[in-house]
Amino acid sequence: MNQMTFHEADALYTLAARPVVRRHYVTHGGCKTFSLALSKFEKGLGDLAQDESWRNLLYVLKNYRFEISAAPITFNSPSLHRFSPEQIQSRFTQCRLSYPQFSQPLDALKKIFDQLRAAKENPLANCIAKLVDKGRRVGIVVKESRLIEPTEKELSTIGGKIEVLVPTQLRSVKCYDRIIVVGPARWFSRPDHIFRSPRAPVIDLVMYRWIADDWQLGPAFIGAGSPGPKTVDEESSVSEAPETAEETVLAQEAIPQAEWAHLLKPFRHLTADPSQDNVQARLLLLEGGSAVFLEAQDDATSIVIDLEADEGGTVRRLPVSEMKPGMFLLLRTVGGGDLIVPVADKILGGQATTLRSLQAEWKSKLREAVGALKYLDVSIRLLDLGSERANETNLRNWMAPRSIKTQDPKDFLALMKFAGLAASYEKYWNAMSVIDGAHRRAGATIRRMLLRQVLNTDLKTLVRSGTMTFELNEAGGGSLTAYRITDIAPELAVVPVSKIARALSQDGDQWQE
Amino acid sequence: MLRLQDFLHVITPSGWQLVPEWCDFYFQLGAILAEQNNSATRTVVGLAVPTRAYAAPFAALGVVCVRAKVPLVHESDEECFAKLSRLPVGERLIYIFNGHRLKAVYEGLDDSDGDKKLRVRVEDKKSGGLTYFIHAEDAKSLEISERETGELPATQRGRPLLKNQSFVEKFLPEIDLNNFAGRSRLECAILGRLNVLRDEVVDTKISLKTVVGKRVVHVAGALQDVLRTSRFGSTTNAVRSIVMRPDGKGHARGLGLPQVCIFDGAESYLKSRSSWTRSASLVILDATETGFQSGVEALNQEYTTSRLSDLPPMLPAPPAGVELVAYQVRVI
Repeated sequence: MNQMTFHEADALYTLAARPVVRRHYVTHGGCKTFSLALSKFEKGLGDLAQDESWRNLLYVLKNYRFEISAAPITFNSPSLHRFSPEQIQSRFTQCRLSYPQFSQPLDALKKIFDQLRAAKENPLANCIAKLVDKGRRVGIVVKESRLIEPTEKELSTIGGKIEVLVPTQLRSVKCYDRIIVVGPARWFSRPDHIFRSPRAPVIDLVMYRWIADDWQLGPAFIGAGSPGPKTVDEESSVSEAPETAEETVLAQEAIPQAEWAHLLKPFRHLTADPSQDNVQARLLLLEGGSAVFLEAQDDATSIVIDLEADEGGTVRRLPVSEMKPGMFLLLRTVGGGDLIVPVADKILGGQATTLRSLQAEWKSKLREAVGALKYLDVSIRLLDLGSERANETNLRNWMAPRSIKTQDPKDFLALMKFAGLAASYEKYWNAMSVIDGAHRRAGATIRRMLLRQVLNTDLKTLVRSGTMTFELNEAGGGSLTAYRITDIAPELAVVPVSKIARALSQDGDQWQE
Repeated sequence: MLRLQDFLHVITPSGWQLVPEWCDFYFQLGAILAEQNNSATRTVVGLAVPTRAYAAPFAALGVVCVRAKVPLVHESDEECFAKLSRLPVGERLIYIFNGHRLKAVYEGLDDSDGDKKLRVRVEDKKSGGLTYFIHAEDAKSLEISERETGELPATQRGRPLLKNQSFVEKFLPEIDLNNFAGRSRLECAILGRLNVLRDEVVDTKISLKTVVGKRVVHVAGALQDVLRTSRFGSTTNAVRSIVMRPDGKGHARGLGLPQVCIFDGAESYLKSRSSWTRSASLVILDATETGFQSGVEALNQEYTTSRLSDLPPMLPAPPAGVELVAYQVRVI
């Protein structure tokens, strides 16, 4: 959280009092034709659009449409070519071969797409250039961090005090004379702080006319006794009648959405069974298009950088259930997986191997004993054996490879009795307590190391780029990357434990590291 | 009611300036919440603000100012004396003597000459163990200390009741300052980020203009001088408000319940709202914080499910850019 001087706070109240939001519509025939044709084509596919070959092609086309609408980038700019012409051609060919009945409309779409990609035009930049007053501080807001660099390059000839930003940067105290937002208001409505707490007296929305955007800032509270911010006062720079519904694409349709069902498809067949090393997990989408699964059991935590926290809490372990888009999740990017285990093993020193084999041993015996029995029956048996917290969820957690021991010794004793290890109860309990202690110390060590690095780093870069890598030279080394969380799946999934806490990217229907 | 923007100044890069209207809005809001006194219902006010900065301290200022007019001790001298005489020997006390607060220990009841007195030691036994004998008519100069531990000092002059007397005298002109600064009573709790609140409460200079001879001078102070938060003040100071982390940790339970609880940010409200269900609530949600939407949803949920009634339109109109919701809920 920013510490703010009184003067800075007062400036924000002044800006919040009378902001003006204006929409500037930009027209371009080729761009509109392509965008509408793409939407029409996708609708024409119906359920077939879910087929992998169509998905792969639509992914390329929709991303292109989004990028040219979300940033002032010339249509033929190499920065828009994430896929080579050969790759794109191959996706078109694949679809044509698999679905010959769509050849004609597909060829028509490809022709429009190719024409647009060859055009050396940049209508959004032309509109922005007219709005930039020389000598005034102008913030150009683009939807995603990856669009900053190409936007800066394209606007470098305009001159003036231009700064290209992502919405998160507008949480800081820095203010501008004018903010130019590229794209429809709806893309910036969750969160809506750029309108609710504006950092400039004037906000100009520069958007294509073919995007239908009816979003207006409304009251936050159901029972609001006051009208709320005045950012709903809008001025339009054009007096023409709006486009008809047939000639527009909804703003929410023009931005690639997280398709959770598809993202989780590779794991749909799995069940939460620790004996198969499968665990319940939550999928988080990260800046830059990658994703991560985090364990979703009640007490599962992960390390985050929370820029709103007090200095000491900037780097902290946070329950997965409390994570929110906008926070930065730290993942081990060199070395793989969670850093806690190797650091804990280093703390354990020479005992690590013996203790870890004891951990593996009781887990294995417990799984054997559970075998094909129902978890409910096992839980009842554990209660009979003196456990106080046995239930199906806890049993699942206790069997999971990452869990070390139970909180209560009575539960552990019951598990040992059930697994046939009652005679060695003390040996296992003591060993697991040592591992547990080492894990706690490891967590503290990592947090300390990271905090040192974070406090010595200019975190404005992290906010701007959405990712940042921290090299750890101590405690086994390796590197950790902070990723901005962009979205969180509403439903849990069951995934193999090997996929937990690893940055993944989706290639077709497969998740890969 | 006084308007802050008519007399309170704040330091800015261009010197002292009268505080803007939005400060007065929070001040008036705090003052009104402090007057809501109903054992069956309590008021909840939610605010969506462009920045949370300084909102909570100014609202707390309104709470403390209004409550400063409410007499502290309702009991008679004799009742107060009787209560203290029942304390166990060794209980830590604060003794207000000669405009100073002294750390003290209760040493028992003395009636050796037929005249009952409380024995109150203020210095370590090794250095002579200076002890005062307090009669019933002076019993209200003693206060039970919740925070003092350890040995008494060898000698002590005590801490002045007011660190910044001239400022507080001018800010609270009609208040008995011995009462205000001499005895603790929790009026307001703020749950939020400690380092940010410290900056606002302790390090932000405010002032009142006054004429000395022919010169106009600024009598400077800080919000802490009036808020008297336990965390940012000395342990011997009488307390009027407390500041806690968003999770509510570190609350000195012995201080009782505050009249108003201010949740400074969504995290505070989401984490701690269930622990403060007997005080009026002021929930400040900053539109730029990541938890803003969650905070709004939680407040809307309470409004939908637990609201007994909307509040009559007696609250100050919020400044442009600030959204307000106010309602009453049953005290749990």
